[in-house]
Amino acid sequence: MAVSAELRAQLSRIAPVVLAAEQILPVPEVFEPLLPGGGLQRGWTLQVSGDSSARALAWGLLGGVTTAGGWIAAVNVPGISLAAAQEVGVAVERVLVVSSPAESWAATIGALIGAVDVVVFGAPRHRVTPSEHRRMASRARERGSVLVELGAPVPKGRDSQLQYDLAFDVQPVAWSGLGEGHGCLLGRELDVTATGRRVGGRPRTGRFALPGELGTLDYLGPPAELADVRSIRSVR
Amino acid sequence: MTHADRPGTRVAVVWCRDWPVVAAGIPADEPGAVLHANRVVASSEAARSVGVVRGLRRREAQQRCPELAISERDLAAETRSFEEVLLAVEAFTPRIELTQPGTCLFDIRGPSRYFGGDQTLSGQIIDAVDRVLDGRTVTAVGVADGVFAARIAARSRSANPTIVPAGESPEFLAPLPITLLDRPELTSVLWQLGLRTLGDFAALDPVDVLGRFSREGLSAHRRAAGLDDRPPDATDPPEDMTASMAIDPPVERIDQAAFVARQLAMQLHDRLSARGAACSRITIEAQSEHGESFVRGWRHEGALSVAALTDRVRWQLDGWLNASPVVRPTGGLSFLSLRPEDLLPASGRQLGFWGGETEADQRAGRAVARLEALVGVENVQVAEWRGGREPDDAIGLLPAGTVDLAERQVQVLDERPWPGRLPSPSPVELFSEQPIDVVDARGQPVTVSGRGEASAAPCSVSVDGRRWKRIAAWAGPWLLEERWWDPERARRRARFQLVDEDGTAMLAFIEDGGWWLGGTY
Repeated sequence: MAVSAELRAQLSRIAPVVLAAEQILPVPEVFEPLLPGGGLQRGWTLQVSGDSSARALAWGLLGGVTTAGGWIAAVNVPGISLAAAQEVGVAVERVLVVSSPAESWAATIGALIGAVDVVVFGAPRHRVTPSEHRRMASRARERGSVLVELGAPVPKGRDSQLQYDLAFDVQPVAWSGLGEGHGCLLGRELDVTATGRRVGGRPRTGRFALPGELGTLDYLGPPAELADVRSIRSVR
Repeated sequence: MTHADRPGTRVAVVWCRDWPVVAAGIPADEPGAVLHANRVVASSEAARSVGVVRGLRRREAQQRCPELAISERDLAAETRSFEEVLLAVEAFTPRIELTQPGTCLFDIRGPSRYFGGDQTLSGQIIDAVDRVLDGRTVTAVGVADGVFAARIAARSRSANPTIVPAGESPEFLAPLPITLLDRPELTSVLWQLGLRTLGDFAALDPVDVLGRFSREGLSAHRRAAGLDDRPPDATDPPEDMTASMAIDPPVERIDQAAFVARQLAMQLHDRLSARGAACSRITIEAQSEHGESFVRGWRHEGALSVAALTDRVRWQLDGWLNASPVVRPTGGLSFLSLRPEDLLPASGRQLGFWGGETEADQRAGRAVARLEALVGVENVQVAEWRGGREPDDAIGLLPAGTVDLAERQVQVLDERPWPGRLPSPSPVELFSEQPIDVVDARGQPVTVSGRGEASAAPCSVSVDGRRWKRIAAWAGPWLLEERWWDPERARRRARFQLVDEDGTAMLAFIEDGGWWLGGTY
């Protein structure tokens, strides 16, 4: 037994040190106000819900992973638009687009966890039991992949039943560039509320330009401090 | 004379200078560069004169030349546009091999006798290719014993064509700098050892070279010495190892052909690896359903991996299917075969010395293989730049199994070549065949006249028969008429952008008299 204890001590000495920073996936700086610790930790389970503009947030958030050489897989995301993903900074050559029938859905996600850095999936049409969901989440934690569920808008007054490390709810606020019969869409402003296990009791919120009128991603500030521009811009 | 010190066969190399730049459509007299993985891989004459050379980072290149036109490398397009040059050369000899787009070579012994000597033949080829190129770049021909010597001869600027007399390749190469070997890791060591010319290196005893630098070093040594530069252990296939396949129904589109390319490349690779072999040269042959036959050889310096094989077959098929109408197959391709031309012992996949395939790419590649078994090959896809005016055209999807995941770069061209494309942002969710209703203030459907004017301002919108929503902002119509010559893919639509009262922005269009939802932003 003495030998094995000695061996163990030896092993722990030579084991590579895993720095906390290596466990953080790179995220564009503008999203830092939303993220506890300023980054996405490997192994987290995320939900991004809202109308289609939620996808703009998801792509913007994940773009940094691909430009740093990582891979994203998108499973059953209907009407996926990689052109839009590319515009907010995703290196689309490292995106796998997978469509999977309900019966092999869990196996597909399972095969991707650990193989790619981020697995994005559209809200499943079939029933996923809480235990299946937990299994997926724990496997992701073990293998260091981030799971992102693209959800439908969460109905008011009802919380999502599943536990996410981070859940983003996206509300469109205003569009710029489009008038009545003239102009064209240039910039989108949206409010994002982050809740979930990692945020604690107080949700984080922020208003973002995704993209702004000049095509950049910007953090505009906390929504409470900004005037509700929606009414000004869309009701003339 | 043994195999080991046999001089190379007499070949001619036809080289089009700066082909990646030419294929990217950058005029020769304007500064331009082609990048791969953020590094310059080729630059135009004008760009080189201000210091934009191979290996620079994008930022450095732009610093040296702010007006530099930059394009991402697209080997498939380079091959496609090189096809017209190959056709011009093919008028002189049927057996042409490609090493990479921009460089092709052939055994000159037979054609030379027929056309009256190396000099005459080379001159005729230069004239023929220059006619095709029409001043876009310069063609050079080099003739020598051995591919390496011929390639160096083609690149020499003293004469064009450069003919190295038979048996004089070693003397021709001897005074040239050792860096021409294009093996930076090897030549930097040799340089430190005091070997400055190819002749110095060639004077070493091959046994010592093999002992110190292994096979890679030996094949460089043979090249420097002007010997037969087939890898020393290459042999002719002892039997017919051709992998072939009848394609039914015949394929006409490159995305379908890519599938066949992949299958056949796997088949050939499996057959070779069962014998512990790999190949560095293949002949690709295709037949169309009307009996036309197309043959082309490809050559690589080392063993071809499955992905490299697949890529070459795919580029070649792309080249044939998209050639000019005169030479394009008149029907779909119905037969395809791959014939290995020489065999090497398989020594596993050679990775680039620096970079190349990363671990992340390898893991993704393995996941693709697993998923293909799980959900089917066509359900695992990656992006491919196609270009187009509508958001669903610009980036297409292609089965992941048919491409080399590490080598690929999705090219981003700006809107320049696509007039009529809506500016970014693009819709984030796309719809197909999703009818909607858009009415004006009086409740009448909004229509667009033949002159491109809306009948009235759109006022309310209902998607899929659901609740009517007020339109808060709108613009349009922007007319789009595409491919009117092709009844199946023709498109004539009037596009609008609409924002409803909930702040949802939509791309909607009128086509065939009805309103459709194209996407939401």
